[in-house]
Amino acid sequence: MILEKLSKIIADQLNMEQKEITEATLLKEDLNADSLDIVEIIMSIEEEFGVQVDDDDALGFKTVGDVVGYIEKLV
Amino acid sequence: MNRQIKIYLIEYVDIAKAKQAILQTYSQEHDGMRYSIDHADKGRPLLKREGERYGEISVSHTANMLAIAFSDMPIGIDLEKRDREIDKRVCDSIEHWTRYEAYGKWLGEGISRKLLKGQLPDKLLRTRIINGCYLSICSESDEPDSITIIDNKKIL
Repeated sequence: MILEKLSKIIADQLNMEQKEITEATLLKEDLNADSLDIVEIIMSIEEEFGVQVDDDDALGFKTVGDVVGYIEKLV
Repeated sequence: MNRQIKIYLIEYVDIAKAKQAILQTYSQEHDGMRYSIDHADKGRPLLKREGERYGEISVSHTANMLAIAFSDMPIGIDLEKRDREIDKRVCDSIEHWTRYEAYGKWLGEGISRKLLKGQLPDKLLRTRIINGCYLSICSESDEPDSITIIDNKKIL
């Protein structure tokens, strides 16, 4: 389940509880992630799912749901 | 044209108040006008003076420190705690990361992995250590930077 794995990646990176992260979670406003967090999260996603994330596409992610949808198209 | 860059740092609990404190200090030291910060696409900060675009700024913050740089030329800064861990696949050191971030902001495009794979314009970059943080500055200015740490007890 993509959301499950993704929320674990995000929770580990940002020192949060995995259950706090849902599809509606806003990456910037709710998670307070900075650029370094985002780059590290993207690298973890690529490693975990075996995909290549385009940096320009990543700029368009607003919610965790956006990221789930993006990964779904690639796997 | 005044080429000197003015950088203000403040420790904060409430970042919105800290931002106002810096803008007020800048205004007091400058011309007493009302300054505010807007955002362009890609989140790039734009300084406004009485509602009109004015000069250039760059903003960066750690968990508890905010830095804003004011300049009349393009400027990029990045502030990170010295002991922040970084995945070595991203960058070899947190100090180096701040230089890439400052460069990316100076370009107006922000950080990307493409940028991280490329060369840094060392002539435009300087990195200082302030209050346990690396502060990197990217700009064409050759004047010494003016760095002010605002005492937040006075403001709040």
